[in-house]
Amino acid sequence: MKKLVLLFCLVLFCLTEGKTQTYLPFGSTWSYYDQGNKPSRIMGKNWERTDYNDSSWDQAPAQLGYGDGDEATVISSGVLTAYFRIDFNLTNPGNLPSYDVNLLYDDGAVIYLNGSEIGRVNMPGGNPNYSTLASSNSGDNAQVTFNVPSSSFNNGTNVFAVEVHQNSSTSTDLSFDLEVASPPPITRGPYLQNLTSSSVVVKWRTNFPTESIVRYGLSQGSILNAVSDLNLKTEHEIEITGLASDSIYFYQIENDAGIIAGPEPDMYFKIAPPIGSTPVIKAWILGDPGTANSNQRAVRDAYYNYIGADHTDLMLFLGDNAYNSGTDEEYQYAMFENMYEDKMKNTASWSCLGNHDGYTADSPTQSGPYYDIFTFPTTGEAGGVASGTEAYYSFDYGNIHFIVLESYETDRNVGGPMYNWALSDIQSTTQEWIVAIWHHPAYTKGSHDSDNVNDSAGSMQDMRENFLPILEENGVDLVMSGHSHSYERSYFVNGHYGNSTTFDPAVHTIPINGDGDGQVTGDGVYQKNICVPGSVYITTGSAGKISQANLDHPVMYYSAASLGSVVMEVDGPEMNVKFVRDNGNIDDFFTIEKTSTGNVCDDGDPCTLNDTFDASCNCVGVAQPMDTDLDGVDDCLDGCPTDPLKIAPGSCGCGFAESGDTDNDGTPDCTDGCPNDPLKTSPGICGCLKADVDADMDGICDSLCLTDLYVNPFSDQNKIYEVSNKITSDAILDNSLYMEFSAGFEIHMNAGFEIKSGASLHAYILGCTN
Amino acid sequence: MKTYLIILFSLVVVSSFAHGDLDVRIQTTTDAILLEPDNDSLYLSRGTLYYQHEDFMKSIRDFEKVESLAGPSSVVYMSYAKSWYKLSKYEFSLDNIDLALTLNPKNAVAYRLKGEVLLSMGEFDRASENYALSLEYTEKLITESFIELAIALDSVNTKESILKSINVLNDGRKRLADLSLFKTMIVDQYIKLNKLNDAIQMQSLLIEGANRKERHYFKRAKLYVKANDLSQAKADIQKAYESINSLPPRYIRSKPIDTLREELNALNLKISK
Repeated sequence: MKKLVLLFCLVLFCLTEGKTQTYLPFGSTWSYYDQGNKPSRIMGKNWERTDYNDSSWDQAPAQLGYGDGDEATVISSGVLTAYFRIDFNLTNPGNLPSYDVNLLYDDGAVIYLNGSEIGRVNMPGGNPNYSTLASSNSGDNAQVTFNVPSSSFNNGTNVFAVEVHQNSSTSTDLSFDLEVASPPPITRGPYLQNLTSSSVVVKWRTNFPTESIVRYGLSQGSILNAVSDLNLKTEHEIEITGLASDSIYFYQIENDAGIIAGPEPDMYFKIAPPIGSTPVIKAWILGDPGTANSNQRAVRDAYYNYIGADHTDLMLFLGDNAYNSGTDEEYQYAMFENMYEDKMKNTASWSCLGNHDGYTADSPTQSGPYYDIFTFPTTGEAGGVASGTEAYYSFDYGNIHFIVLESYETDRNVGGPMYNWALSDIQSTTQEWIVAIWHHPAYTKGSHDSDNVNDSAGSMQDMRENFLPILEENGVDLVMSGHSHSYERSYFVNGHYGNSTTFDPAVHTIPINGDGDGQVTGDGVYQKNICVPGSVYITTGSAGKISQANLDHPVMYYSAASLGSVVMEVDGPEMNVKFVRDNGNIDDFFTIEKTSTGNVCDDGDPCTLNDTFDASCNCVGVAQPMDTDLDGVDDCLDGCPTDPLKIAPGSCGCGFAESGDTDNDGTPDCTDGCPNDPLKTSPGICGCLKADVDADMDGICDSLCLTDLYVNPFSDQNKIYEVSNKITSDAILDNSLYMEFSAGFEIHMNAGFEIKSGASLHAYILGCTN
Repeated sequence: MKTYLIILFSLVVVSSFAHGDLDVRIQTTTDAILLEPDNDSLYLSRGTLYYQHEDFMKSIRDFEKVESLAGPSSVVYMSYAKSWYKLSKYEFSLDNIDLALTLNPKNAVAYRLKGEVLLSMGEFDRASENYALSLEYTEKLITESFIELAIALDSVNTKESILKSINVLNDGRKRLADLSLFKTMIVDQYIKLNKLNDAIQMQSLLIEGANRKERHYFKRAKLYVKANDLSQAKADIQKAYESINSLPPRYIRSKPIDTLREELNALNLKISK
């Protein structure tokens, strides 16, 4: 019987091929038992034992099962449990620490290797029998991987026995297949660190100690250069130097036996451009991302959709990269596995320490997962002043100088090492842009409150009061932090170091439009005048989760408890920043534009025009000594620049001589409609010197009733004519029009009086009714 | 009563916000302790969480529980020591550090904390001794390893201790990196000792390595003035002006450079007189 599946894949041979190798493939031929009961004991031996005689069982290739239509072999339908066995050969299993057993199943299964259970899925505990049901419906062709230590395998023949159980007697399908493979040799990375304009650090982790080799070249087909470290290790770190700036190098990871990762089209590093150069730079900023859940992935996917095939130059992590405590395992799932691995293999990432990272990392000793995972510049190798520590550091990328501070457990006091270094560093850069990041925000009313000195051990207040002044004075343009799980973005501000109640937009925002939205489609982009310092502050800690809060810090232009990440794009003197939501919407954006000429200001002098800052940043305008009306007063000071007789409008306005007040009613004659009537300043309906009386409110002054009236052919029609005595008329009423006559004693129609078709005349002997 | 309740509620909310999700994590650990009341690692975890929550007395109580369940350990003694230090109970803190050091006499973290405690107590001599031991036993050198020891020695404020401080900083330059922070401190120490030539020499190294040199020239100019070498001082003032003028406009016009320019002008005027 025994169909011995001989897989002549020696472990060492497989490793020479480098990547994942299969020792028992899917689709292998299995013995199976589908007789509607549990296989009987033979010679006192249970069916799962290595030496069980299964010669009476059928044999057929997997996938085995029924009901889905994708089976290679259809077994009897209607069984509650089916049983499968296979022998296979494995030579020197101890050459690897473990193997992956990948199971395809429907609905539940228990796996035995060489007579011992090595795993079960979707099954209750205890010793299952034929009628034991799976715990739930698994869905079609569910898969699970069991990582099995090599000690469970024999050198030579090994026997798998698997029982697959239905979830119910009415289940319509059953599926089974299984493979044994070496786990991927690389379990973390590769990922890029400490990128400079001539070097990069490549890091990765293997699941067994091995050599570290990075081979690289300028094209995928020409990967010839190699840097290696032949010491056996699982945590690999290779620095490659002497690279050409702004160039793309493809790379692959090797050990002494062969390639273990790459080459692939997206496995490359793009060396940083020369310091001070001005290519378009795209950075992706992630604050508090480390939940390792679907929220984090939604934020990631939204950015991936946004950036498309474009290269991301930098990833900036703002801390709290792995919840809850920044352990190595938490980092694995929050950063390296099913998270950012596709981006991190071709984009260098940088980070500041968050409080959650700090629960397991220690800045004073530079120990713990955070410091093990990241490699940051300590000797100024990436630009900036050497800090001697990875807790705080700086680096240059193109025309941007990045300053990274540690706001959790490093001394934040003025005069402390970090403060002195930061001051020295920012006063040493000549870069066009300065961007600073740290975890604890200077301004927030999110899940943390920057006004509360007890919140986060006062770190937010410390950073605001101690570091903002030196950063702003020395030219910082953008500051980004996390910690609060929301997105808050400030106006363009300067000089505000107190709590939120002391913020005054008139004082603390930057002219001319720092109190606006900074948007080209709105109040206009922020103009970063070279004479006036100032920065935009972003608190963005929602790349993995959100927390509802007041979000009403007055320094913020925009605040929302929304999942998302920040994109920063710099193109020479222009910086565009966007908040990309998890749903792909861009809910906020702004632009800062560096203006080196035409820096508009107001010198406070009305006799100058086109006020701008001079070379010493004094606001000066062009003098305008013009005297249009030749009255001896410059136009800029002349309230009536075209009236030679006046230099101020006075009561009568320019162009009108000032007058007296004849009727002494307080209104000068030049503006008095009734200059002789002390009771009126306009004629009204009854004219000057007459009170406006109109009892029937018909618009006719009561005192204007005439004695006699002649209504001629040209008089207005559609009108009432009233007199106290006699109306005489030779009017001609046009079609559809009317007149109304009301006289006290007589209405006389002269020859020629005519009423055309459709017109009407109403005549009354009533006299004045108004 | 109602008012009190509202105030109390507000305080609870603020307190909760103040420490992120530590309250939740403490509660989770407390729940786990209820299930496993004799699990010392759970008390250690909760004690650490209380410490991070700044509930130092509660953290100490949990560390006591750890000690009663698992016996003495360096971890527990150091945990006690940190909490007592935060409560400004320096002697208690020192006692526990010493106990930790009896278990592990090469505990760099313990020596560093002891140095910090002693510095807070104004015992600069003893502080510097312990910082020195921390530096000796530490596995990973960082900037602070040298600066803290140098500051402690500087605080002793004798000629010998300041010279030792300079040696520590020079040691840092060799063993860690030739940091400008170290060199700047060395210059200041030499000034304290009135070793102006040495200070000028070190300041020259700072000038050599700096990306922007204006401030460094200014400082050396002041050193030359102190040393009565006015021609060199004038030359450095001139170089400082030139450095400023070579900066990009956004820096030339910044307030700190304005201030520096005024200081240069004042020094120039003083020399001219």
